[in-house]
Amino acid sequence: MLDRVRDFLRRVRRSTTFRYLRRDIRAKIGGGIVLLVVFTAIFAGFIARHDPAAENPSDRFQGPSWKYPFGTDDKGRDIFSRVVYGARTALIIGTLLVVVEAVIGVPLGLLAGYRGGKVDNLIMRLVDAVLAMPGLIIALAFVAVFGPGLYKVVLALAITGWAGYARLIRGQTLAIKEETYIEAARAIGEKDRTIVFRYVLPNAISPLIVMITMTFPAAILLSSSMSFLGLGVQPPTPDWGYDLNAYKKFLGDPMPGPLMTILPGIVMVITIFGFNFFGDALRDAYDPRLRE
Amino acid sequence: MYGFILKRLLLLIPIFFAVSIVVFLLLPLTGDPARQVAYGQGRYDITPHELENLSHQYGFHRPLYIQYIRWLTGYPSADPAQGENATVIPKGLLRGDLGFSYTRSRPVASLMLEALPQTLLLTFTAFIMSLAIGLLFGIFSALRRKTWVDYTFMGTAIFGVSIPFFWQGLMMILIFVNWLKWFPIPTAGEHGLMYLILPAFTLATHQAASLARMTRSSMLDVLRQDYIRTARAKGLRERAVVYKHALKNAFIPVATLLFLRLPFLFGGTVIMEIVFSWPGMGRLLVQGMGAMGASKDWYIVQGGVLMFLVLAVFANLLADIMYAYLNPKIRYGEGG
Repeated sequence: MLDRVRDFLRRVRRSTTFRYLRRDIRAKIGGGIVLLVVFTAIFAGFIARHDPAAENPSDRFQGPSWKYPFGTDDKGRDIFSRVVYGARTALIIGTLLVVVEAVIGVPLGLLAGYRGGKVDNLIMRLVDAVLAMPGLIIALAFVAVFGPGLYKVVLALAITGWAGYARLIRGQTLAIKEETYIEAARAIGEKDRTIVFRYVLPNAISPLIVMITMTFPAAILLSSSMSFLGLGVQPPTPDWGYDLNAYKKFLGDPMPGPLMTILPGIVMVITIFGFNFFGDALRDAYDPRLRE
Repeated sequence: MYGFILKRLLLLIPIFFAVSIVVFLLLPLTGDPARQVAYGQGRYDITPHELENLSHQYGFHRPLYIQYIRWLTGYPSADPAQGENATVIPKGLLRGDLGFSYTRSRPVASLMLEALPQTLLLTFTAFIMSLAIGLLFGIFSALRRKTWVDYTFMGTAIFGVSIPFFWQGLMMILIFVNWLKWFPIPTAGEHGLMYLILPAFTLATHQAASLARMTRSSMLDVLRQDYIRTARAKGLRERAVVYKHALKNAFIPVATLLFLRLPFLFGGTVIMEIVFSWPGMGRLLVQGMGAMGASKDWYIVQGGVLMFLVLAVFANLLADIMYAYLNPKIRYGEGG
């Protein structure tokens, strides 16, 4: 097992993509931020200095200090700890959403691209229709009907999110289908299922990874927007959007007040920026036409 | 071209029915529509008997397909013998009735019609702003490729798409309303020009950021083409080459993207309307969904979702027509 991991890492390190990425400043900055956020989310328990839900009435509305790096809120909770645990929520939502979307979208894309004809027509009609819909509003309607909560937010966003994956994979499949090695696989009598999953899919992995990196920040943006409206993740799960909604009423207050909105927001922007930046670099690295 | 448009228009009919079914199902999908209505009216201690009455008043006891046909066409009309109440049962979507809001005690259609212009105004203003900013940044980046101008613009653009709408809106309020006092405090019910600028600008920045990136790569693509070299070779001024020959062709994918992203813009409008207390449909809709401590109002939810879906369908239609208009290959090809 360990050998295989080591082997995999060696292959990654030798790949042209990786070599290209290492020279790209965007990949360095973006990748650094991504690693930092992932690390924070995993080790939230060690990084946060307080229980994010612990109310401390004697320490309400504190400005930033060594004890409370981002200050405290109206209930005396440590805002920094809430932001750290919020990162965990954001990453969980992003990961789950990407997985659900890919699990729905990739097989449909493979099917449409490989079978072609009527199946393709039907699936792509559906994809076009779904892509034309306002995803956020559909997601909000879903949550209004089935109730809020982390898992429901994921499902709600997946209703429209899978279509992008299906379209991407279909396009890839169409191109790969024409390759000689697919013809060869057919000639030696491989079954369709084997061809699709052993030959087509592995060759469509690069754009899929780029797509995942690009949809991840969008997932965080959308889910936190839903929480901000109160139609997303519910307490006690700490969520960036939910907290910002709770803190926005202190914007008009004297100084530590606005900081409650400013600081968590900056963390959020940097996180999303990191993913976007890294995703951009990754896309260029995979696409030889864009390399000079 | 006209045949193409006509075909697209005919396609709207099945789309409309699909949309209407989805929107209609929102309320039955909750499992217990009568209870939802009772809660929306604030009657949390409703007895089973009263619930039964309410269910009959709203016609929820009928089979689902009858409810749908009634919701769509108004037939069969309310039957008092079964305890159905003619004022609360929708008189048919096709007759322009979206039901009666039980939280605001007004027909939803009139609420929507009041809010629609505000939403369109906000979205349209943002749209124009983003077009101006996005094209400008994109073109300059492409022309000054790999210079500090390019890096700064594109860095700003990728930063722009990374800022959540709602937080950017809050920061706008903090800086321009609370600190600089250039704009009035956003208040519910106010919707003058001074109240419009901040939400429209916030909304526009995201759209502008992705537009700028798209414009840049599209411009770069076009500038590499042979006909640009030809244009330069025959001695055209650089300005003519860029703005007449290159931009015209680079604009095709950008224009399509512009309209295809409209649904996304509507999503942003919803958030802006909440942050800036803008009296549009998004605010109405999200409050109807129970956001911001409001009571749920299912007829507003249905009406609002319907309106936004219809807007999205039209935006998509515009994108198709725009694409066909700008791209003769589609116009005269199999699509026409």
